[in-house]
Amino acid sequence: MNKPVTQTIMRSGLGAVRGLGSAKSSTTTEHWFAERVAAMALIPLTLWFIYSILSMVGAPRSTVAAWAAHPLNATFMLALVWLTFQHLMMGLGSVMTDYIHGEKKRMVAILAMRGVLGLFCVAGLLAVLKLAVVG
Amino acid sequence: MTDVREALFVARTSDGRTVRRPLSPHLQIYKPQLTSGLSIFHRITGVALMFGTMLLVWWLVAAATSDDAFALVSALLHSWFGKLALIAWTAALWYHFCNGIRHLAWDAGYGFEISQVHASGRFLLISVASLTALTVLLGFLAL
Repeated sequence: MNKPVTQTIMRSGLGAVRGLGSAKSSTTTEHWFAERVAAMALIPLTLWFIYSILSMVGAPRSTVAAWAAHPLNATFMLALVWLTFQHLMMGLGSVMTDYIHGEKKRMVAILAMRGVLGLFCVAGLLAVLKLAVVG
Repeated sequence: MTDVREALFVARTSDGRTVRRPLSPHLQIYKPQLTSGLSIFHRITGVALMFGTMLLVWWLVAAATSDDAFALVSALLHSWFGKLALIAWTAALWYHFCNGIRHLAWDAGYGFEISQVHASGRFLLISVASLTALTVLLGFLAL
């Protein structure tokens, strides 16, 4: 007599109905892609940033202001701050999605993280603009 | 049900029984390896860089505010604790930077052979150590 064949189907009906999965959900792909686009842009910007910071070690405020008054420095710095925060918020969002359990708790934590870091980002951009324009 | 993802664990066997799908074992089950270790460290340094980025914003805001505010941040950064934090930040930044390039290469489809992954992993550690040492040295020389 043949033994009955029992096989676990590794697929959930709900997942299929909701169109989940990395191939179907475009927001997931976009998130993944945007994180890497920011990463690529941050390669030259980070090298430039490390060079700039090293050139200002121990410098007084006036030197930093004069540095930021150069339009190229201000442009790169604004791009660096903006893209760093974009990349940071996406990365931390992924980490929190993985490790915080419970729909509500996760949502609240990610929104709070984005709120705090978003304000830090605006403050950083504002500071660079002020330094660049006013000194 | 506290987590909507629980629904995705519901599956049915071919004879119609409802079962909970198996979950792959978590980190502590596996033997520590270069590959997984470097991967986890990418996340750890990523999270750590949040503090460095917030410090950068504080420095920028202080520079845009007043000489006194800037002097306060400078004094903090020149203390032994500040220097230690800056060295840690430098190391974390170089790690995330170099391993990020490694990840981008994988995303582009290169370096997937296990021998290549191990070789790039070793090269990563040497690069991070050298770049961190060089940056810290240049930083102290500029003081």
